[in-house]
Amino acid sequence: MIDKVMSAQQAVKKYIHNSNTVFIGGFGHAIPFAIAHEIVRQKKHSLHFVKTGADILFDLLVAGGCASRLSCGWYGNPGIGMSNIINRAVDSGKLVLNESTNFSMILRLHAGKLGVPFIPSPILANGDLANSVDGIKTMKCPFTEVQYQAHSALNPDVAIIHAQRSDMDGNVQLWGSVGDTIEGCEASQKIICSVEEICEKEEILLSPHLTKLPAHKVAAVIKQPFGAYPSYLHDYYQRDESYYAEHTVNTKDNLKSDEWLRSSVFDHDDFDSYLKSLPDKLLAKLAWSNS
Amino acid sequence: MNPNTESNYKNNGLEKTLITEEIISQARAAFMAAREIRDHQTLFVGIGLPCLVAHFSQSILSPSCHLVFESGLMEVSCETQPLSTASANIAKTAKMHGSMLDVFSMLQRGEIDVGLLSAAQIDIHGHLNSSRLTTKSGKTLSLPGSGGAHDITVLANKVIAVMPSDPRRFVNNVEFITSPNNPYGNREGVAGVAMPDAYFSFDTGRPILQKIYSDSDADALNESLNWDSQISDNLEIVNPPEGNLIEKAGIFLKNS
Repeated sequence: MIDKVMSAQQAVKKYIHNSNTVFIGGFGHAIPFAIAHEIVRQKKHSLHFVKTGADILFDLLVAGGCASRLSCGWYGNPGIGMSNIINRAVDSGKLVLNESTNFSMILRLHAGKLGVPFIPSPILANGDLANSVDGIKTMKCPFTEVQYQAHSALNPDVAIIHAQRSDMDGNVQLWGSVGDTIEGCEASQKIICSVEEICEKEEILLSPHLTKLPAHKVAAVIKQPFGAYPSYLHDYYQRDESYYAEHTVNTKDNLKSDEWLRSSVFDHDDFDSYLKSLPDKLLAKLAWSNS
Repeated sequence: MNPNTESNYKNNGLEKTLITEEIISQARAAFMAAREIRDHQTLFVGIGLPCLVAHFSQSILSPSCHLVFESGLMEVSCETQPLSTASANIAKTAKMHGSMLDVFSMLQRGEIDVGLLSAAQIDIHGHLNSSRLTTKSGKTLSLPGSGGAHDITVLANKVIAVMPSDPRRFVNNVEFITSPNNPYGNREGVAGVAMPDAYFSFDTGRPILQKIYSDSDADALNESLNWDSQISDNLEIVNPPEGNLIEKAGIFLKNS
């Protein structure tokens, strides 16, 4: 068996290359912050990120200079506001933003997952967003002659995700809200996954219905408790609401963003060091059992 | 809006939740929209005001409605305001954890009766803008974008928008058409928009002031908004939410 268990540092070094197209898993839940920190720490650059709804993890990647392009249906701080960092990067020409819709992004990833070049849908036929969107062309249904939009397939080089657990071989068990994670992972060439726990394969055999990603696509398994902090992980920990609430203010200008990036990423050798720098007892308070 | 309403609630010593003008305003808009929902309908719920509409529908007016969120959560019991469509508070009350593909497929197949949406702007054609706004100083503000809004507008069997009462949100032509009122096939598109004083329908393809709360003035309201709308000959006068309903909204919004 290939040894897939490694640190985030090793996994990012080995499997994420400059100019890659990268899918980020986790939709409001199980967002892979630990791996994103490592991408920033290693100063990867010229990456094209694809996502349906891009939450504040993308602020890290963009502020860290890792992204040259972002294709997404939405970007910002969910329920709170706009992304100051992404807006500034677009205004200054550092980032190309391809705005789309969440369903179009899902269809494009699903086409990638199915191994077909496109999927037809009636969305994005009209309006200003439709006129400016990337990766879509008008087509006629060969059976009915009705006009549809062909949503072209996306096959990212690598997907990064966080999940509850996996065995050493990469049979990844994920539950709770999965969002776009499965589509994005299966469309990608390979998957890098951080997990709360690495368990024995016997344990996986007791609950194969929870295994959502097959081992053959999983290139790296990283044991990283609280690897989705400050987002939440079903049955493990709650979201740090105050982190999200303060984020927009913490990133309101370049000076504040730099400080935020330094204190959360560059001051630390790894994610565990960052977790240790958090306020006393914060992680204990976030335990799922307290919710 | 009745100026005494806020103090009425504040002075009732029994309330644990501080009732603000903002809560009252949201409750009024949401209750107006919730009146358009029929029992047993399946609703695709956006974030913000649409969640309070879903809460009123589910807990009072249409108890057998089905709630779907774009994250893939289905058969949700919406008891407190979620900040995202995958928030833990709704993930814990969902009876099914599906995927985004699952729920957007339902939408495309025509299984969603009503899409509940908010937006930065709505225009007289029923087009919605969630992408850009020009500020008073002439600066362009980039907003978070469509998310699922475009998809819901085109694919739901019917869309009900719900908006705060800011007059800049009601315009003749939105600055940017994120979600066009060009529904797929024979779907209805944007049927109307609820706001804290009234409900405008798009039955004729243009906004008609169809329903108004008894404490609001139709002519004054119609003149205050930045769009060309008409007052229906059959304008319906509706009692505004009071008492328990306002309290309920306060509890719902407080726990977010």
